[in-house]
Amino acid sequence: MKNNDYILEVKNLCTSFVSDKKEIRIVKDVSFNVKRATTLAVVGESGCGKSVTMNSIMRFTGKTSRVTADYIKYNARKNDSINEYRLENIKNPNCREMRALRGPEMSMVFQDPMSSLNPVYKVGDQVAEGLIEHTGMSKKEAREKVLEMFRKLGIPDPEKRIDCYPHQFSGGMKQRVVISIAMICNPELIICDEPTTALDVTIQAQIMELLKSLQINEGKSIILITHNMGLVAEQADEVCVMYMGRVVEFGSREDIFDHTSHPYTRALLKSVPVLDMKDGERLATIPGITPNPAQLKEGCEFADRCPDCKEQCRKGTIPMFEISAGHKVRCLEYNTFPEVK
Amino acid sequence: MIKFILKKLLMIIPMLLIISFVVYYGLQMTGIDPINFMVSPETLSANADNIDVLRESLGLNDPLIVQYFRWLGNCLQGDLGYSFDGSSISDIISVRLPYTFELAGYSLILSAVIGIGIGIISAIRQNGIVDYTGRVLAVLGQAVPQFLVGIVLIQIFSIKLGIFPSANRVSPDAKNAFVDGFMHMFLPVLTLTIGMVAVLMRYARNTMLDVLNSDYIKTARSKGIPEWKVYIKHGFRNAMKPVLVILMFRIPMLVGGSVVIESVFSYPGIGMTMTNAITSGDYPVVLITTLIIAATMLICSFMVDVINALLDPRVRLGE
Repeated sequence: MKNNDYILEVKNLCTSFVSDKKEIRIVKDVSFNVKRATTLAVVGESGCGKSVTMNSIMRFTGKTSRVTADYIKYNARKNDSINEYRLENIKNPNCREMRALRGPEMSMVFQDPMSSLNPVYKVGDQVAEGLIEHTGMSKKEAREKVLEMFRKLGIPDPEKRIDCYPHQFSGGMKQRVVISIAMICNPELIICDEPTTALDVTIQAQIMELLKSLQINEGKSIILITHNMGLVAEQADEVCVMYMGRVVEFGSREDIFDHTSHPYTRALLKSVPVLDMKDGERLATIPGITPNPAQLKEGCEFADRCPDCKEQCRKGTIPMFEISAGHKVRCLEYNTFPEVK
Repeated sequence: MIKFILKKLLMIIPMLLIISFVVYYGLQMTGIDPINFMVSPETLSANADNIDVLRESLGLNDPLIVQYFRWLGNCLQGDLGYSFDGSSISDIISVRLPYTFELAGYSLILSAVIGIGIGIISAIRQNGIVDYTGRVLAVLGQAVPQFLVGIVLIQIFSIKLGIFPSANRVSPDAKNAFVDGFMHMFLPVLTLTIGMVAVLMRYARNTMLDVLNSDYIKTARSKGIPEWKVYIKHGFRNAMKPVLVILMFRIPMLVGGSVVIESVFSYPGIGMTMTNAITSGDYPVVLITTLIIAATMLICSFMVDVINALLDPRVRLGE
C-alpha cells in the first residue's frame, strides 16, 4: 500500500492574505510529504512562510486568509487500514470534521509556552479539556490520564503540579504542559512550531530529547519548524528549506548537509557559527534583506541576493529539479536534471 | 482567600474615617455659620448675648476635633443629624438613597447585558454588521452629552407623545406601584443606559479582540473543541476582567454622578439632594451625601479586588 508510507502529503499548497484589498501570496505551491514515524524539519529565515504553511494545514490562518491546494492528504492509520482525509476540501476551518482531527490525529506545539496557556485555568484542566472533548471520558478518568502523561513527560510531582496554574510553572515546564496538551489524545502527527525558541539551551536540549523519545517509542511523526541548524542536524530525517513562501530545497538530512545544492541553503549553512572559527573571523551573512512579499519580481525570489545569479533566473517561475532520488532543488543551476511536476 | 477578603474589607474602615475627617474639616473651613440658618437676621442682631449662649450650648465653640468626634459618635449610633431646614437626615437618606440605587441598579444591569453582549458579538464577528452598527452607535453615544439625550427623550416621549412622565419618582394618584415606578424610571434609566452601553460596548469589543488574538486561543482551537467553547470558556473569562473593573467603577459615578440626569428628570435621588444642599450651604447634608458616595466608591473598589481575585489566579495566589 503506497499511501501507508506517508502520513501527510501536500501538493501545491498556496496561502494568501487579503490586506488593504490586495491579495498577498505568502505560501506558493508548497509540496512535501512526511514519511510515517520520521521527523521533517522545515527551515528558513523569519517570514519565509514556515509557520503559515503549517497553520494552513491545521486551518488556523484566520478569516483574512485564503488556502488552496491540489491536495492535502492526511492518512490516518486505524488498526491496519488507512483512512484518507482530504483537508483541502474542508470549507469551514472550525467545522466538526476538522475539529475531530485536531487532537486525536494531528496536533500542534506552539512557539511561546509563556503565552500558549490560558492563565486562568489549572494546567491539568487545560490538558484534560481536549481529552474529555474527544473521548467523552469522565473528569476523574481524564485526570488519571493527565497524571500519566505528566509522568511520561517528566513533570516532577505531578499529583501536586496538576492543580497549579500556568504562572506557577517555569518556561520549560510550561512547554512540557503544552506538549502534554498536544499529546494527550495520542495523535500521530505533531507539528512543532519552533518549540524551543523561547527557552534556554539546556531546557531546549531536554525538550528535544523528549520529542525524539516520543518518536522512537511511540512512532510519532513530527514536523519541526526551526531556524536552528544544529537541531536540524540532530533531529531531522528529512529537511525542507523554504524561502519567500517556496520550497527551495527538499531532501534527506544527508542530502541537505553533505550535498547542499541550493545557493540559499549553502548561504544558510555558512551562517551557522562553529566552534573552530579563528579569532577575528567573521560569520558569513547573506547580503541584502528579504524582499517584501507584496512586491516580488518575476523569476527566482532569491535572485537579488544570490552570488550565482544569471539572467534567466529573473524570468518566469523556476521549476523544481530532482538531482537525486528524493533530493529536489528549485534552481536553474540544475536544469539538466529531470523537472519535478 | 478569606484572609484576603477580610484584609481588604478592614482597610475600608480607616479610609472612611480619614475621608470623613477631611470632608468635615473642609466644610468647617467654608465659614458657613449654622446659627444663620436657625435665627433670622433681625433676631440675630437684637439678641447677641443669647446667641452666644445658644452657640455655647450647641457646642459650636468647642475645638474642631471635639466637634468632629461628637458628630462621629452620633453617626455611629445612627443619628446622622439634622438638615438646616430642620428635617432629619436619616429620613431624607432613607427615602432618596433607594431611589438612586434603583436608577443606578437597573441602568447598570441593562447596560452591562446589552453593552457586553454587543461588544462580544462585534469581536467575534469583526467587521460584521453588528460590529459596524455598534461602532457607529458607540461614537454617537459617547459624543452626545447625557443631559442632551435626556432632554431629547423628554421632548419626544413626554411632551410630544405623552407616554412617560417627565419628572419625579412617584405620582400622588398611583394605583399600581410597580407600573408607576416603571413609567417614572423608564426615561432616566434609558438615558443612563445609552451612555454606558456606548462605553462598555467599545471596551468589551476591544478586550475580547485582544484576547481572541492571543496564543492560548490558538492552543484551545488546537484541542479541537467547538468554537463556542473557545469563545466562552477561553475568551470571555479573560476578556471580562478589565470590563468588570470599568463596570464596577461606574457604580459610584451612577450614585453620586447622575446629578445631571436627576436634575433633568427632577428625580429625587441622592445626586439631587446633594446639589440642592451644596447650593443652599446645607453642610450636614453635604457631609453625609459625600460620605455615602465615598463609601460606595470604596465598596466598589473592594468588589473589584474580589472579582479580580476570583477571575484571576495570579491575583488570588499572589496574595
